[in-house]
Amino acid sequence: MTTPAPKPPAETGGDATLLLQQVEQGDPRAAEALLPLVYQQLRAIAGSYFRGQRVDHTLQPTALVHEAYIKMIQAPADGWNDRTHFCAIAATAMRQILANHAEAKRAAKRGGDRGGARGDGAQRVPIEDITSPSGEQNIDLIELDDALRRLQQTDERLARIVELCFFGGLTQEQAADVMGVTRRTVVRGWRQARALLNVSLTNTT
Amino acid sequence: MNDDRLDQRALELFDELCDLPAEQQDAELAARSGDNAQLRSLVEAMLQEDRREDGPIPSAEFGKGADILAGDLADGDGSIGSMPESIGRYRLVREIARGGMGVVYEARQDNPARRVALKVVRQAFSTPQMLRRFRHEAEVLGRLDHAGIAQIFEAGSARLGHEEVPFFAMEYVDGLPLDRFIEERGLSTHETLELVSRICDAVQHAHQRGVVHRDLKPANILVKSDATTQSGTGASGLIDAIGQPKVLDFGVARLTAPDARLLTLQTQAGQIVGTLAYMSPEQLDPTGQAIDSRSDVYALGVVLYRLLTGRPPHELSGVSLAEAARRLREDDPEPAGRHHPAFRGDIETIIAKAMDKEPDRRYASAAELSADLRRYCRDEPVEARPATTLYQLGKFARRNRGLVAGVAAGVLLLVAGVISASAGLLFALRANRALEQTNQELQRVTTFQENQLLSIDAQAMGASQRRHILESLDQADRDSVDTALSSVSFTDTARATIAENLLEPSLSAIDSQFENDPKVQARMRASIVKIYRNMGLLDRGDEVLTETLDRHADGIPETHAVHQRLLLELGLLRMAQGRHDEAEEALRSRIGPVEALYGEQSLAAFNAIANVGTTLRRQARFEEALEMQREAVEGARAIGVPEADLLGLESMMASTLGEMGRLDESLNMKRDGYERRRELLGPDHDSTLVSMHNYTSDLMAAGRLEQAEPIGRELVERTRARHGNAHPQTADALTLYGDTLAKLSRFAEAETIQRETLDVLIELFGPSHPDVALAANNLAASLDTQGQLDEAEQLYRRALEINESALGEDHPRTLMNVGNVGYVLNAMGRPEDAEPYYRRSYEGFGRAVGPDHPSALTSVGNLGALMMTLERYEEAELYTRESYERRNAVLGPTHPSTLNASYNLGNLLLKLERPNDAEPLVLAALNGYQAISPNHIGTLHSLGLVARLRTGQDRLEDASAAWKEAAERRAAVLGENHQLTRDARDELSKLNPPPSLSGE
Repeated sequence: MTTPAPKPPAETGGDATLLLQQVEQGDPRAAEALLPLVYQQLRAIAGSYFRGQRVDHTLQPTALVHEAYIKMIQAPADGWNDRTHFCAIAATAMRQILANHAEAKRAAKRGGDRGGARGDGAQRVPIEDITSPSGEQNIDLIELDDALRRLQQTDERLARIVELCFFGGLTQEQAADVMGVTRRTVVRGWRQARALLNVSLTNTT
Repeated sequence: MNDDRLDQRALELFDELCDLPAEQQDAELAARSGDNAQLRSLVEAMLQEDRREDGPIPSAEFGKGADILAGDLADGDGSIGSMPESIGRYRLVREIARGGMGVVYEARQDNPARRVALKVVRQAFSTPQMLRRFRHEAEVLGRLDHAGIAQIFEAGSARLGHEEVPFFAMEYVDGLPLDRFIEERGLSTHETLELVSRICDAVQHAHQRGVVHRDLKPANILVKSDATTQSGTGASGLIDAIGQPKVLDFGVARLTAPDARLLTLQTQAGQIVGTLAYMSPEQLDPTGQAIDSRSDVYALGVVLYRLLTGRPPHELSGVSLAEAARRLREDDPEPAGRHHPAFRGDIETIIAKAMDKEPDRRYASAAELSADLRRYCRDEPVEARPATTLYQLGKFARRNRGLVAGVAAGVLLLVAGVISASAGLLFALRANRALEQTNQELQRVTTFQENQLLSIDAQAMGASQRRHILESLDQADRDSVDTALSSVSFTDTARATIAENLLEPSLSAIDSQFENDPKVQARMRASIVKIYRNMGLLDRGDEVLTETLDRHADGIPETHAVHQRLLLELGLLRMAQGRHDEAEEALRSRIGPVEALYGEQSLAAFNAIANVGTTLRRQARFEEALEMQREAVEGARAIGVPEADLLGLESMMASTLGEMGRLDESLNMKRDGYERRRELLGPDHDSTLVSMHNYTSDLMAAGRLEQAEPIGRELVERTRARHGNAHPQTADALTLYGDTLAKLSRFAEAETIQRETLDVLIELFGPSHPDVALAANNLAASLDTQGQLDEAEQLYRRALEINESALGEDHPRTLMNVGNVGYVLNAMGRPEDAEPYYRRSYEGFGRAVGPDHPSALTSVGNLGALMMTLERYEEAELYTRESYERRNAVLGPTHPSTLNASYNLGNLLLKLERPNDAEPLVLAALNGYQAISPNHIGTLHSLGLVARLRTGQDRLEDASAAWKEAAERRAAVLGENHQLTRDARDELSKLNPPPSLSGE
């Protein structure tokens, strides 16, 4: 048997680490400054998944965010430590990535684009079910982006809950903490948002 | 009502209704939505979505969005989602699907004018050979011409961005996936079977041309939703109703991964899972037999099972990849007849035959499967036969191939060894050969017997005992028995079994057989002592040895070889008992006589010297130990002893060097030893694997993680191939490799390995073994680093429970679990819950290993930080100060850990508005970090702390100078726009307001 792995090591950090500390200290500008860095990192990691650089057999749902966290933030031994804030920022970054990506896809979808969330009518011919992790469900990102935009217009708070939980991988408790609301609010909000989004996403297929 | 307003109302109404019982919901909804039909149907749909856990956004899969997004972001040249105008001579029309393996477009070809599906594979060619091979194989595929196969028109490569990417152009099929088609058309069982027969025909066509699909599954089989094109040529009326199946992607799996089995394919985020269920056991076993057309027959069996019963034959959702592979290899699916009585008998037998784990027992071809399906449809007797009991028993042995074979072989050889030892001796004695000859014979036979006995692995044998017990039970009893057995050490029972049934009888046999030949008797008893020692049964070994020495004190002269052998056993046994003085005495006393017996320049003499070196090393007398071992190694080298013996001597010396801290020399010797052993014995020999393990673990201890990783991976593969999955050595190798990956921060990979380790250990030792606790702890560490805190918490707690009862409350491993539970609770944002654990870890480590041990230093620092989180500043100060002072004393004032504690304490005191107390700490942190580097992040941070210190002391000029320096340094290192830089500038301008413009 080899040695056990106690926690936690490492002492210093980079830009992102400092910024994150400031986020935790309640500096809203730090979050703004951190966002583009996280965005870059997430894009880079996502890209690398598909260029033969990774040989993971991971079934990990939040691997992307956590890989970004590990790459960017060097957790100190004492004091400053909270990955929740990082995930919250990553969630925002990912929402932006989604919006940009969906925009690009809309542009690319010459002719097939009706712009609306529902009744797009593009016929799908599934060639293989490789798209989603579960192998069962496919989500069209344009539809997802549309649905989220609508949700944001209707109820910004619900949209933020989806961002944090669905993209950032935060638990409902963590999301409540970040948003400064009770856990109950998040639990109910998630349930509402999920029901509405799933209706939108299911109806279009 | 506009859409926003509608959604708003729907959300509100949903919130009010969602907790009501389902039967009330309808009535309430009708009452509340009034005549707004739009609202009503929306809320109804929402309530329906709410009741199911899956759907596009599943209820509990947090973070899934990130993966979906990542999957979709995939783009060879890095640009986001843009569709090229054309690829090769195809004009792209639209994107049909995309995923980790590639993108599929609908495209147009002008000449001939046709619609194609263009699949761009996300894999660049690294060599022209690969590209040539790809084209060649694609040509073969192009020759497949069958109504049931989507034809491949062309395979080629095109430049996309800066990469050369392969693509296929294939027949565009406008249809539904097989399972959806059957569902939507509501096909009967007979119709479904006919449809599958037609798929079999298509598959058979490809097989006859030497092409295996390798990835058959409903999603790869489309059925034309509109049968007009087929109606004229349909062989029967039935076809029109059931449609024409088209199998897609024939041979593509092989084409895109020519040398890989699917498990070694690059996979990410579970892409493989949808495919896994259809994979045959031989596809999952990297060392197994070749994949051939019968692998497709297996997949067709799974397709049938799934289509008829609506379920997958193996439940794979939510399990690790390793576990999924295990289930597919080992578990028999429930017979299809259990799902529906209509499938009892022939249908379930047909499916079982198609899905047999042994390719030889399946239908030899898709055509045979298809023939049996059609026989069934025509009510003719089918060829498939239910499995016999004898065959079932055989299957049991096959599932446990590694263990059964290992244990059976071990026991058989053991018995054979004992018998042949006795028989050989009796034969020799009866033949009344010359004494010299008999002795040689005897020696050979004894050695053989000894080796057989030594090769028994009590741990593995115990594991298999446990498993056999559990497997003889019904599923219902298994869990309770498993729990009841958890307190039993099966390694111990296996040892007892070996001792009682083999060693003790051997001992009596030796005594009676060789009553009149005390030397032979003594030598053979020494062998038994050696086996007892190797099994860890030291007390019994001691008894047997003492008795032997007493019995022969008068009969055997001290200079005789047999007496020296007994002394060797005595020395080694004492060493194992930790009685090093006695061991040294016994082993030293041998050197003279052995030299006299075998010569000064003999292997025996050098071994005798090296053994003394080992006792010295155990006593930490390293210089003396090294001297003797070096003498032995150099002497043995000079006289040219067999390589295996030399390797043994060298590895003793390498261990001593390692313990002396001479890591480079030690590692070089160990690597050399490992490589030569590998050369000599082959890579899969037990000794090679052991030295590979040791070398890997030494590399890790020396922090050479990058070097350790590939060797560790190979170790896992080879050990698994040699011993099977459920084997202690496999568990050791997995543990080591998981640890290596985690130390390399490759947590996702580490997690996979660690899950596997945990599974294997539980299977081997039951759920309550300390090794299981350690594995759970290590897995949890990888999980919490990845933010999967809930599961990490459960695992830490489970490890804690096991160790509390197995090792005791104050054992360092238990305390490590305690601290980790606290750590994860704090990370979950529950510092109050974390506190008792932090305290217990702090106090326990203080008691168990002393307050200056690294573990204790970590735990006190953590406790201080936790108090700060809880805003209990007095206690925060107490512990942070203790952490600082101890680190300062133990690690020295310049150690980064000390600097960090110093910074934290200073920061805390400033918060408490005690600048003068903070001053020495703040300055110590700054100076310390500056000595490491003026650009160190700690330096940049500390400069700000100094400025705040000066502000607190009302030394505003100094404060402003410090902010100025902080601003400049931060700007130089981090850039002008960095938040830290801007902060420093802001603070600076607050202290020195710019001069007003009006004042002259």
